[in-house]
Amino acid sequence: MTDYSTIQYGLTALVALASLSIAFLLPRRGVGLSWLGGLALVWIGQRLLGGGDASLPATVAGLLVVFATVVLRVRSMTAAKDAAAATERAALIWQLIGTSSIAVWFLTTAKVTDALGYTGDALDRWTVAWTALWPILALVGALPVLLLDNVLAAHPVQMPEGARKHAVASGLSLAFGLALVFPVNYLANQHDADWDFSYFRVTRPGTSTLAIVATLDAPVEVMLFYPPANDTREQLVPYFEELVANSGGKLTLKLLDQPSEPELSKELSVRDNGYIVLKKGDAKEKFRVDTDIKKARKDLKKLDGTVQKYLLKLTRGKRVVYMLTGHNEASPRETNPFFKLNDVKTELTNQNYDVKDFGLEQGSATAVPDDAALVIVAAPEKALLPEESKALAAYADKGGALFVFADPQRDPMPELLSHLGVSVGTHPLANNTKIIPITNGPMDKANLISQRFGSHPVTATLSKYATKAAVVLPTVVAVSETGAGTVPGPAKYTPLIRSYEDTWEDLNDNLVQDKDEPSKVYVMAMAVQGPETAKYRAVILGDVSAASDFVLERAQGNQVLVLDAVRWLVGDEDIAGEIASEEDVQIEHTHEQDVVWFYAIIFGIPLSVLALGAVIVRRRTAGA
Amino acid sequence: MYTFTVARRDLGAYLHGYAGYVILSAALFITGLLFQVRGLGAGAQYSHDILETFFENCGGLVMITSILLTMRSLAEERQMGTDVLLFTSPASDLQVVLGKYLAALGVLTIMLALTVYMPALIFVNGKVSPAHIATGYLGLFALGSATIAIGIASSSLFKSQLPAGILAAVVVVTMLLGWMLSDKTDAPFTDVLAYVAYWDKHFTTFQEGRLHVRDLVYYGSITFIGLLFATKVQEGRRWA
Repeated sequence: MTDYSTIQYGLTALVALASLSIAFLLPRRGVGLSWLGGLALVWIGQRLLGGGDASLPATVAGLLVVFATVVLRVRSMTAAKDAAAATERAALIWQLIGTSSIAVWFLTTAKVTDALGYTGDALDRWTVAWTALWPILALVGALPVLLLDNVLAAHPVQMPEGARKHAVASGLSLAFGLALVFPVNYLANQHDADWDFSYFRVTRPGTSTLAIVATLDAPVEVMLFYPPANDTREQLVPYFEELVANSGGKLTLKLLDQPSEPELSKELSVRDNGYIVLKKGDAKEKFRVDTDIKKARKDLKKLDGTVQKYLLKLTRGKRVVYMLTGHNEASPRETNPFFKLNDVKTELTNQNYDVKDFGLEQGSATAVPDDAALVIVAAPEKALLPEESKALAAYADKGGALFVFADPQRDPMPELLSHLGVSVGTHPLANNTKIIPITNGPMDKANLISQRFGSHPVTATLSKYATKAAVVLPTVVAVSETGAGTVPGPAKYTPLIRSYEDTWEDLNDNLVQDKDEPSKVYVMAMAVQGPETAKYRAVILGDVSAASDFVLERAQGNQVLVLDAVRWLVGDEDIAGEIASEEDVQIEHTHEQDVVWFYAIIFGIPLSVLALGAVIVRRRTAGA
Repeated sequence: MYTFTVARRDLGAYLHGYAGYVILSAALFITGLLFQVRGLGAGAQYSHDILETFFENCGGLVMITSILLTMRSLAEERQMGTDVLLFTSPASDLQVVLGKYLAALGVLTIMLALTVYMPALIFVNGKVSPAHIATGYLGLFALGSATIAIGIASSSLFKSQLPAGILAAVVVVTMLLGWMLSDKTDAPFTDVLAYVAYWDKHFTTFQEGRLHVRDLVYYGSITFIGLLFATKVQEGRRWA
């Protein structure tokens, strides 16, 4: 015998003794409770201790307690008179009904089912029926017994006429009420109907995608392979119909059912319904949006981005973007999320660009490759070689495109930027209130936001949504126009993003505004268009973190800024605009908003309710 | 008819004294604090996450408030001796119980209505649907209804508020945590305990904006049993 078994034996004896003692300690109310204790002990013995040494003793002890309480009940009945005797008799009957649940439960045990030879479905039917019945019998017996005992205890001398009947009726209605709840819930669970009301909306075409279809140079066919009357198809059709309406007849829409189009399906390699095919001449692009609307919801929320990606693949040739390397620049491989540019690379790839490294091995000290549509210089930590600056300047003079990111504590690239006629600061700009709390410490003073955009194709979409879209610039430096660059002729300088008036340049990096750090409006991003003699395009952004994964995943404004800057730089400003998405957005607040909301939410509303209550109560008191 | 008379009387008792407003303000203060600490003020979070956290916070508060509101409902009548007035009134026991249930539900509805500005803030700034918000509130209402019924049932057993409140809390906590025992027992108790999970199985779906008939049936069943129990206990008192 193990120690565990000893505990089981001890507990069994304890429960049995406790059950019986109740009957003697509460002579009028206790028999029913003792009886319930006995039933519980039988259940514990068979169910909880089913495989243990104490299983049989617990069951036997439980049965003995049940038997003893029946004997006690018979004794009480014979000793009582009139209404009390009738009540004891009723209690005995319900007690026996409750006890019969043990026998019914026994029918569900393997001993009985094996003896009857039931297997499979027959066994299931047998077991389910008796398993559902025995708890009901126990309940139907127990509740009247307890209420009858309560009546006996409440009226030891003279029992009112209707008390017994009421106790039985109450017990039965409670028992049947409970018994009714189980099958109702079982049915509700088995035949559950559900509706998903969480946010779901199919994107409408964004301005950028509309611009792409409006500038198509050749017909494009859109084929939706879905069965008729399919929910996903119903969601897709309005989106594509809007594109068709804006395409000037260049885009056509066909609704197809894959099994009905075997030859076309084979030609397009479409093996099933649930595919969208874009076809221009012999070229085709296809992607999948599931026919099951529940599975398709996620894809439908970002449909516009996906369509644009494949439209660009189909209609625009692949172009190359070079990212300068070798000076510890921010890059897609960086581990620090504030300097990691993987999302930029992914977005450029989606826009049909081939993103390549551009270091000394690729000839950064000699010349920018001829196939470069754009060169990105992402805040180099080490100074560029003079030869590299010259190569980039020469590339610009030939009408190239440069996206230059600066950052505090990084190289200010004087040679390259002076060629463009701009310079960048080396100390971060700071503000006390127009900031995004990221660390919830003093460092946040350098995490600026701005909704002040210049008039330029790069910021046209941002300006349109200026009340909603903000650009987040964690640790940004000022960008200044220094006059004409080294190229003859007047360049055009356009400030893209400005700071607020109460911003200062933190010259000693202590994040406190000192006397020699005046507040003023700073330019944080600038667009430069070269003169007639060198029609380069350049965007200089004073913060590389503004294009980092950390920020792009949180700030939609920054996504628009980066994409539209690239589009303008490569001459695609005609397709600038937003990519519509119905994916969830992260909510972030400025420090100023946080303070207002904090007080309004936590104190404002509860205090208003309390004040209203005080007024109402005082008025009533005064009225009385 | 008498049901509404009792409900009006009890609602008046809640709102004509300071107690109701103090409970409402305290509940709103705690909801606002949690909303700020775990939701909007907790840094960048997706709007549906903030909304789910809001309903989670509110769910806890709804259970506590429901118990606080109902622990006095019938117990206080006995303690003050005013139950005699109820027994001699033309209102049946069922009407009395239903009236008290509706009064508590009314206060809870007022409290929930006063929190609407919080999901409205999420709606304005994020991407959540009005139907998701409505589903969450329906869940809070169902949870409140069931907890109020448990509170009234518990209150019907005692003369004093405190043990009534404690018993209601014990019942609710047992139902909240009972599912953890589901793998320790056999059928039919395994399924019953797993199904009874007061929160985990039945409320989280409302939080996520999903409406299941089974969850409404579940909370409706608890409400039915609680009110039936309280009615039967009240009826029994007539014979005591």
